[in-house]
Amino acid sequence: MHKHEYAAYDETFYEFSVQGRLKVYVVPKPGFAKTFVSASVPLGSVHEGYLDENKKPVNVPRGVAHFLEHKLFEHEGKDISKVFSKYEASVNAYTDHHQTTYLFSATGHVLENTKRLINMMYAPRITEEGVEKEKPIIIEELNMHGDDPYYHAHRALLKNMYTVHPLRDEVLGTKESINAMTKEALIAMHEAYYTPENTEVIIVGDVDLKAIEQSLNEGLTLPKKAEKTPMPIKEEVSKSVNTPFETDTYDMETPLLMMGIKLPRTTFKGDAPIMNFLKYSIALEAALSTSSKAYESLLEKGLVNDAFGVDVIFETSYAHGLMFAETSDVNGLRHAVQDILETAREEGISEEAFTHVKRKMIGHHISLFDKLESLASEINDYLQFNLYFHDLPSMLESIELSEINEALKSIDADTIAFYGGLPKGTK
Amino acid sequence: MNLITYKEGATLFQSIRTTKFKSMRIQLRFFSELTAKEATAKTLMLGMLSAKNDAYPTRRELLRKLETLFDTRLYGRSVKLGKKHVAQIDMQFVNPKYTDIPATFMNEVIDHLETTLTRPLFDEASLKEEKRFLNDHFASEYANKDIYASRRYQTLLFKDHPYRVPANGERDFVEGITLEDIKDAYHSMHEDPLVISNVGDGNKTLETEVKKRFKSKGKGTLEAFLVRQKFQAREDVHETLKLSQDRLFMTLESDTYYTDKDVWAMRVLNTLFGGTSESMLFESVRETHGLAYQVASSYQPFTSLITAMAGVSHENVEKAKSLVREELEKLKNGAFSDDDLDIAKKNLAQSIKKSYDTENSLAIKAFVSELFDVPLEKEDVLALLEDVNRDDIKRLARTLRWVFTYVLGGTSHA
Repeated sequence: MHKHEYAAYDETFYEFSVQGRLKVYVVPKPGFAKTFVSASVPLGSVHEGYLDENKKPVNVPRGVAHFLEHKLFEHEGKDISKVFSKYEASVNAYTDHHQTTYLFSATGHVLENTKRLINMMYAPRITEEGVEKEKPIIIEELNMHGDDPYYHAHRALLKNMYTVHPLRDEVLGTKESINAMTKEALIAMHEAYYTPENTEVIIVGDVDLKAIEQSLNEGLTLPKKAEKTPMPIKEEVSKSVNTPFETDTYDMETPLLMMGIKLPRTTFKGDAPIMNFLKYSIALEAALSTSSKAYESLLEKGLVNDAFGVDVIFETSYAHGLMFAETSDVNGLRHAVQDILETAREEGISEEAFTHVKRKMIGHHISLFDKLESLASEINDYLQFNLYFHDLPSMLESIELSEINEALKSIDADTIAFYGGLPKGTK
Repeated sequence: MNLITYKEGATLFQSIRTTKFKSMRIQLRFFSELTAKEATAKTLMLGMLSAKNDAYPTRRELLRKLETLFDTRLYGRSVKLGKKHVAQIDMQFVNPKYTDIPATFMNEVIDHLETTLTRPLFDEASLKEEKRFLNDHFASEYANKDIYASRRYQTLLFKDHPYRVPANGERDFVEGITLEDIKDAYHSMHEDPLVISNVGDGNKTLETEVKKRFKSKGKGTLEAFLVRQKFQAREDVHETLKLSQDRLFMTLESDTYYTDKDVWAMRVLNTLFGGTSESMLFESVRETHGLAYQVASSYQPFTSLITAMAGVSHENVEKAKSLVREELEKLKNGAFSDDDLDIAKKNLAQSIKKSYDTENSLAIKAFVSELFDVPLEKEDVLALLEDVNRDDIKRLARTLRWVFTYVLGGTSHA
């Protein structure tokens, strides 16, 4: 077991591997009643299939990762959630573009529940009957989003940004792909992606470290090495966006504008992608956050309200910046934001703004240590890039202002897409 | 719980001392009667208080000051507790020992909170901006059809009830609020009974200074404020809107309110009925019949009501209704296993234990315990839960009456 200490924030975490294959990270949280455990595998909606035993690519229906997430809860025809509840745990899972994460929070029996979670992930009991039974439930889940203009606008923006990347597709798939799902496709994808070497387990809570290490090493039977393997994700070839601007109408009252900026993942030679994430985060925060001069001027012009935000997303196959705003003037705001970014590219940000954003980020970093679920999620995000979330302050320290301004300069006008949502009846 | 309580006039001060958090919190809660115009004015006033003040006359200056204090968060917002409006000012900040100015950080935070409370900047331009924000907020509720359906349901359900006013007030009142109304709301807030909650590591500066600097100017004290009002069963309402999924709400009235001895049995009943993904509604409507992705029930002990909710395709609404009714009949007849009851109690026990892990929840527990004489310590609450048995569930289920059903949707599918 390897120990990492962060004395400045009274934080420690440990890492060890189970049978030399499955990586486990433990963050002790003395005094907390709840222990939060997550286990993530790198199978999301961008994974379109697998390589078979002969390394031949095989495509499967879209939404397979999410469908599989649903089916792994089936245990002898019943939902395994009840077993977790009996042992003081609430279990859940979610699928995003790149990963599927299984999780529970528990007030007891952490060892048994952790083993149960991992066994549930590695030992699927998928039946044809179970697959058919799940289809209408997932279609209702899809319908649940059907009336949400923000959800549709985000989906449309991604389509406008990317030309071929499977990020264009819905995480849940479509009604047609859900209805086309088969037991065989689910089992094959499970074999290719759900391997101990690909899994990261994160445990945050008031736990007995030694007992966890011993219990997982002795109590888990890990699956044998898979013959099927992950299929490479289709790469986005175009640096520029697909459609720079588009609008559509929805059953809503206040128009909205979303902006997406396609970001390079390796602008700076030798940098880890997570360092790029930090640099672009600082750059967009300084240029366009709610405490920026730019936002103040947008408010004064009446172009935005307090429902406004910017964010940067970095994953292993794509990276982009996002802006969301409600506005009474979609076109006016779009032009204003284009001008703001152009000015930021030309003038860069000040030393004062740079220091300010870093201080804010460190404050946010410290506060996350109290939020067990968010902490586990952040740790998982950084682990995708083989880095530790706990090292964020020293990573920020190593960044120089010139790198932020270089990052801003790399944002070309043709890498930016806008999507406007307008109330029905708008011309 | 390591709780320090101190009362002076209309002010109740509570400090919860714990070392398990890296952050600290100060919350001020001013309690007043909930009327639509007052709630609207107070919502606007709280927005203005937390956005600008005499020392930081622009949003940007104020926000940058907070960010400089290691991303300190300051929220002014309206909350509803039963029939009371709560004007809540909430400050979250990191423990000074993790900052580079440990000696002065706490005073800076408290100074900032004091400035927020005592040096407001109420002008026409700020009011206009805040009105725009609040109007947009009300407008955005229509875009989210889950929220919109829930609002419509609440409006129709509570139309003659003291609890009917939403925390943020009502859209129709926004335009009519004047700067004088804002000033009146501000001054009356300072006269309202005040509950102050500190959650942190027992920092002496925090406890002493907060106690000294923040007080209600009023003379009254905060009294328990439960309303027991019977609902009359009424006609079901089906409103038409083109949706990809109908939203169904079914209301049951009980005789069990927040301070009643059966309240924990009613909470177990609700958990068993539809409170979790191990519940009877989930098992029947989703798992067995595949009619819904989301189906659940919730119990509101201030009103005694249980609401069952589901998102279902239009053609399945009637079937879903009948399944929900069937599950209630099973509860009444005791047609549930000991195992299911045990799981419901364990789920609730988990929630109770986890609720002692957040600063906000600790603060709420401390003042509701003082106000309503309900148990504070985890062990005492768990003991009440443990006493609940199958006969309690059957007995309480038989007291439940269907009073209202609301459906939004019902046209062709998107």
